[in-house]
Amino acid sequence: MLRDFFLSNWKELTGDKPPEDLRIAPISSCAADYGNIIVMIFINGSASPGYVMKVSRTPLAAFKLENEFSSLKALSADRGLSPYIPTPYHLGVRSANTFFIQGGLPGTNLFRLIRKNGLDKPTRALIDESIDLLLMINKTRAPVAGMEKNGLEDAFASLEKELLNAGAAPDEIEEIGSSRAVFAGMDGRFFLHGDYWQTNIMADERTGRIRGVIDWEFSSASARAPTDIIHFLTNLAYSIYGRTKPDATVLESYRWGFFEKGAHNVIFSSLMKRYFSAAGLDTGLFRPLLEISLAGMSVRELWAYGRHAKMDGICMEMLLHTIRNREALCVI
Amino acid sequence: MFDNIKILFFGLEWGRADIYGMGEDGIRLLKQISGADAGTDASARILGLEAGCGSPSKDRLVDFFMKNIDEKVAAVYVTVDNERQIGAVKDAIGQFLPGEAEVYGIDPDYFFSLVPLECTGRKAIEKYILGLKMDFSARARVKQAVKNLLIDMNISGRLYEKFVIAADCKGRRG
Repeated sequence: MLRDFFLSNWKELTGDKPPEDLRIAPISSCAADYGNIIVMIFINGSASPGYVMKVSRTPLAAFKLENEFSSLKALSADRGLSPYIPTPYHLGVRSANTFFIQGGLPGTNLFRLIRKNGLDKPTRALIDESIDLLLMINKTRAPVAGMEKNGLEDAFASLEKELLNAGAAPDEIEEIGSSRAVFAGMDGRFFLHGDYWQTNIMADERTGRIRGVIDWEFSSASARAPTDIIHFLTNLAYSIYGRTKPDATVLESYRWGFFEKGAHNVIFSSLMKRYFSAAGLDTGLFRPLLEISLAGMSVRELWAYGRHAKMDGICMEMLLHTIRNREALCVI
Repeated sequence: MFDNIKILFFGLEWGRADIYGMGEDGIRLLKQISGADAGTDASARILGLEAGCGSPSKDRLVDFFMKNIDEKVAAVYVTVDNERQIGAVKDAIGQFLPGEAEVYGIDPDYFFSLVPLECTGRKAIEKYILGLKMDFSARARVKQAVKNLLIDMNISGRLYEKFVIAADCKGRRG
């Protein structure tokens, strides 16, 4: 049984002596078969998991766990970032299931805090700190052996076909091609989290500080375009808008956040400028970055698993809306 | 549901799961699921019984186990709908397999996650799992408050759609 497996192999798995009491809570974070099983490991009566095990449901998705573990190892070597990274302990394969063990990261995720508290002062401070942390991540020079290189840039191979399938006109496809070209000539200097949104950012409500970042499956090194900031901002719109409209879709939240004038645009613009300035990027790159980020998100699951899932379609809708309403873009 | 339950057997080698269902007309084999592949003991089995909404008496369970537990069974699990049925299942399993049977609640509101019951720190773990849910509608918040209260009052069994009791066959009786 899994508990016995942990207790018998604890030293090998974590380097620590076995705990006196160990309880497991296997949870699923999604229903898809390419998702992972996550096992929360509670030791010695603790109220939050001291360790977390991730197990790939299928061999098809094992590469994500390998990539994530490599990413955790690389980032743990960056002294500035290591306090924010779950400690990577062990990567292994057992009966054809790839798994790894990492340290638990206590706290509440930022999405939850925004939905609960709105944009009060402490939550705004956490959002600002998330941007600062993102800059550290994107600029890290941590060694990247074993990691995906260029990540989603490989996914673009199927993009034109997917755009045609989605009903994009030739000039719209050309527009996206132009946005890609803007970054094609740039150095691959960005380390990407790949899924930097508010549910993956853990905060300590008591101290009002960010504790760390989880879920590094889609991380990649040497990227030319810093797409994480777009992921963060588009999902921030979803986090905020959904507070007053809980049934709002991701697309509706995106339209509100980026194309409807209001005080929220000022916040998004401010965060974007903060990031761009510190990253040494011209703010004129925002629109092309927005377009290619959405383009990458629209083929991510196709690239990773060989078939589309729900988010690909949603991101494609967001991309087409962006291309078709460029003049109405409020975040600059 | 077996997709989630099978993680409990991580670390055991098994080639096939034989899953039975219990109904009014008896116990029947529902399905067989292949386990891990090359390198494991392909003849080792997981024996599962989905007792459903019937009331599995201890005698009926013991009879089932007597007929189906052999030296090739690596582990056993039973799912029941009602927390009151857990005791009978544990007693029946205990006649064949010494050692601690593990008991989990199956949470339908969080992708059928498994929550350990009958353990130290149960309340804290239940509250932690409850806190992972991401529905913040007014209705969901009321539901969450009620669930927190059930946990505090030690009657959290109502949170779970089903329960699973599992044990491995190490050190079984001859």
